[in-house]
Amino acid sequence: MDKELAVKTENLTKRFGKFVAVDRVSLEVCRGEIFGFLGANGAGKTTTIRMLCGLLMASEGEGWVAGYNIRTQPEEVKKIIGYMSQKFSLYPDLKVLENLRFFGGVYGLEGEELEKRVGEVVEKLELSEWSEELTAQLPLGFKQRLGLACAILHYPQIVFLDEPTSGVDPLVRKRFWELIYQLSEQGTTVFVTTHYLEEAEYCHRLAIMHQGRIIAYGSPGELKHHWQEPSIHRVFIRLVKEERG
Amino acid sequence: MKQRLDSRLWAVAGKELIHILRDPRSLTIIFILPLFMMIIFGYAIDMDLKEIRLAVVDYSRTPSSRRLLQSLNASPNFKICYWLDSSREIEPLIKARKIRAGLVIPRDFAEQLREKSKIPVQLLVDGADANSASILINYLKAFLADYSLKPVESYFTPLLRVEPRVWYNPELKSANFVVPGLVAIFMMMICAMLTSITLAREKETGTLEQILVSPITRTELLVGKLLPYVLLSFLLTGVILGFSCFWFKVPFRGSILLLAFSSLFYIFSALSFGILISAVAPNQQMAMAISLVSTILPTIMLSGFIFPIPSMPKILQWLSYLIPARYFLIVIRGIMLKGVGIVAIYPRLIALLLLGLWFFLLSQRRFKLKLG
Amino acid sequence: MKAVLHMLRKEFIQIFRDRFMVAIIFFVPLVQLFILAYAITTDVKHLSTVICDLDNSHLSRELISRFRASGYFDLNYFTRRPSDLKKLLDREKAVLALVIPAHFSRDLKKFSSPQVQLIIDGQNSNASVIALGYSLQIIQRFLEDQLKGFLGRMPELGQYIHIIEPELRVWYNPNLKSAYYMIPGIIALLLTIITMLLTSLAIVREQEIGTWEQLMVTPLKPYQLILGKIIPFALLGYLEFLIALGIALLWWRIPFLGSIFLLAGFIAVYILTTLGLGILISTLARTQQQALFLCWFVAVSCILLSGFFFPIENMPRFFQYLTYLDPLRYFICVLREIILKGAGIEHLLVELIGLLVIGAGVFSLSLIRFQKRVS
Repeated sequence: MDKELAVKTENLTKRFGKFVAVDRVSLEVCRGEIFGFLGANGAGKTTTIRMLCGLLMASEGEGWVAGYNIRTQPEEVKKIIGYMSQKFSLYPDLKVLENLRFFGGVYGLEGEELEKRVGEVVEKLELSEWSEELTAQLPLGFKQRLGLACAILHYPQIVFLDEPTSGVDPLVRKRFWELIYQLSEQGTTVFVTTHYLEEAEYCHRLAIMHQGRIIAYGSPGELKHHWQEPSIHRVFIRLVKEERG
Repeated sequence: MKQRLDSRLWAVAGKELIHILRDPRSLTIIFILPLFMMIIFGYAIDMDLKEIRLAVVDYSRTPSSRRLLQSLNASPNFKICYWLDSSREIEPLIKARKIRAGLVIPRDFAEQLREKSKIPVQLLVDGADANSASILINYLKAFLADYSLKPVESYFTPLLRVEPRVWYNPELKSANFVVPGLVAIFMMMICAMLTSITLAREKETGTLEQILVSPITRTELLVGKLLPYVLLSFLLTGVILGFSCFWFKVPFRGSILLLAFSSLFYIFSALSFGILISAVAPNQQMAMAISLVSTILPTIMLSGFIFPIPSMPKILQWLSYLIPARYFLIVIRGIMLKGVGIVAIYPRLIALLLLGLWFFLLSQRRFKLKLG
Repeated sequence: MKAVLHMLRKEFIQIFRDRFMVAIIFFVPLVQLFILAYAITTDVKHLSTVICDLDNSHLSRELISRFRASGYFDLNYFTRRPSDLKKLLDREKAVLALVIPAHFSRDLKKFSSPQVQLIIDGQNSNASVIALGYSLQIIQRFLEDQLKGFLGRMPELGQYIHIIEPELRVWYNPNLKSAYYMIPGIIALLLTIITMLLTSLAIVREQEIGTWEQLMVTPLKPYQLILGKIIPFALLGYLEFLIALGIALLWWRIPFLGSIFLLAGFIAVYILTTLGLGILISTLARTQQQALFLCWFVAVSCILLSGFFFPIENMPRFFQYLTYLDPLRYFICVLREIILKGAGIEHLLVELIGLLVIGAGVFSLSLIRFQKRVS
């Protein structure tokens, strides 16, 4: 297994009864890359991420995260990844600091190291003024940041972000992507899904999903060049039309 | 205008019904579990003591003592499990829970029987379970009294004949008593508990905002939301009653229509209570907690379902006036077991109506306070 | 292990931050204890009675006054019309009717065997039987006293009157206070409901809001998740139990004969069983509502089959076997035996084994289902 690859899948498939949610997905993500996963709602993005994170068992196919097989070594995978789910999934009745300390602790950080790291993350993600607030009180944008914060506390190699910017205004979204860039520059691989097609331009490489299958795969530049479209947005529309028509 | 009014209501009711039907787990729980519970209730609830396990020590060993013991053993209420030699052996058996009591017949029993008018025998009782002990003692006293007077009766015609007549439940079947009560409980559960949780959930998830934007009025939303639960509780009641009459052979001597009609009153008061709870509870969890505490438990304990109200302390008796099930139990038992008509039950129905209205008014006041 | 500590810290923060939760855990069971303790009475008293005295003689009034004096019957209605009886009983205004026929006094003195009618509302079979028992006893005593009167005139009758009476010796609870038996049982009941409910709701709630998924992505193993959820409620339940028991023993002045340590040990085993049930339920329910209902049904079934309210000997064979699966059955027995009889562990081996087996079974089942859920 090529250690340089952060994520690799081969014909990863997930069926729910007769419904095929993820259909023979094969992709590779390099270390330090920002990999975008695009597609409409229900295209299969979340299901794919879930399989990679060890939350779902694949029906067929194989996958590796940082060299660990997701089928046979899910526990190893969990140690080195961070995850931010689509639906906000931190404790609303805990304060910001308490949430951070909890997840940090669960990932093995302790004592002084834990406090130091929590402080770092709070600063980096600009959560200082909210640190003593109950998480439920946070505005959406800050909730997203907290989600990201909890995902990166333990210096994960790869971070999976499922629609991290949905429902948030463009300014906040931009700020969030700046944070993602910083992560990438530090060597963390970022696997992000989104249904905002403009965000595709921010990624190093991306895959477009439609009804469980990958219908486009490559860097934004490559894709635009290949399909002769000025934006990923247009590429997407074109592809979907072709799939349908 | 009327047209649109109705159709909006049905739209809400329809959506709510779909929600319920699409949740097979909840449906199973709502329908299957009560049946399951009914079976347990029906068979387990039998408070009579039968075949009370006894040990006897016969120091007399005369025909008179043996006759007494034979007679005792022959009685359906008692079973002599141990014939001991010494009264010292009784306590260990009681401690080991092999017997509930020990009877010791004194050495001079036969002589006393000839000469004295009052003959003592020793009864050693496990008092830990006070209720059973009391019942046991009563049974034994009754048995002994009966046994004592038999010789007299053989010489004279009985001094006095007592004709006990048991009405409404001559077989003294506990199921007949318990099953109608279960109907009341499950109805309460659905109409009060479920509705309060549903309404609280609406509050929590913010569907309240929907009302403000759409032309639907609060009343329509409320009624629309509640209608499916009314339907559900009728269905469940029908299932439970059908099952109990078929399986437990609980009699149904009255009019089904009357029961259906009376149920409406009960459902009304239960629903109002559910609404009150949802008005008070800030979220779903609280609604659950409050409804659990204030609907199910009081309904079982204080409504006269198992424990008779007149035996309770005055405070609790007053409290029981606030419990809808109290009235409905009398109504449903009346209809099923006594076959009564509306004349006998109408005061209870009025009480239910008033109670329901009171709950509803209380909830409205809370509501206004909140919105204002 | 450190991870579990973090979970514990989080749980406790959450529990104590929720003021309502705290009220429910500590306040509500105590209130219910008091209500239940006074409501649960199988004593049969204040039986509303209607008297139909068609004789109106000295003797009939004597009999009636005995009924009144017994303290069991509330003589609320008097009528001369037998037709009133049905009306009163139908409307549940009275549950018992005593009908004394005309010429009662005359017939009794002439040994003409008058017939007295006792009409009982049989709905509550237990109460009916007891009421009948009381009535017969009263009539019996009345007869005995009449006989004594006759003895005065016919001494030869004396040789025929021999009444066997039991001399009572009641162990462990000489005054037959039902409180001694009921209270510990009620506490066990309430605690069963609370521990089961809180545990299962806590887990299901996390599943509903999504934090469960977040937890599953972390390196936390399933057993750590379970421990993190159980330990807080185990501790709280234990504490609660001791408090409630302490208060109850003091308030009702129930003597405590046995070993506190033995009791403490059994409480621990029992609480673990109920928690295990809570976890099992959480694997079956998808929403908090469902968890609530399931807990409710399991708890009530356990209570019914525990032998607390209704003797197990009375149940059909099948149900008697079923009760062996009920942890509450063993626990209530243990409570009673230790508190009231001072029983030692040697008397309670069956119960101990029963609880351990059930506990082990429940936990294994939960773990298996847990694994399935996680993957």
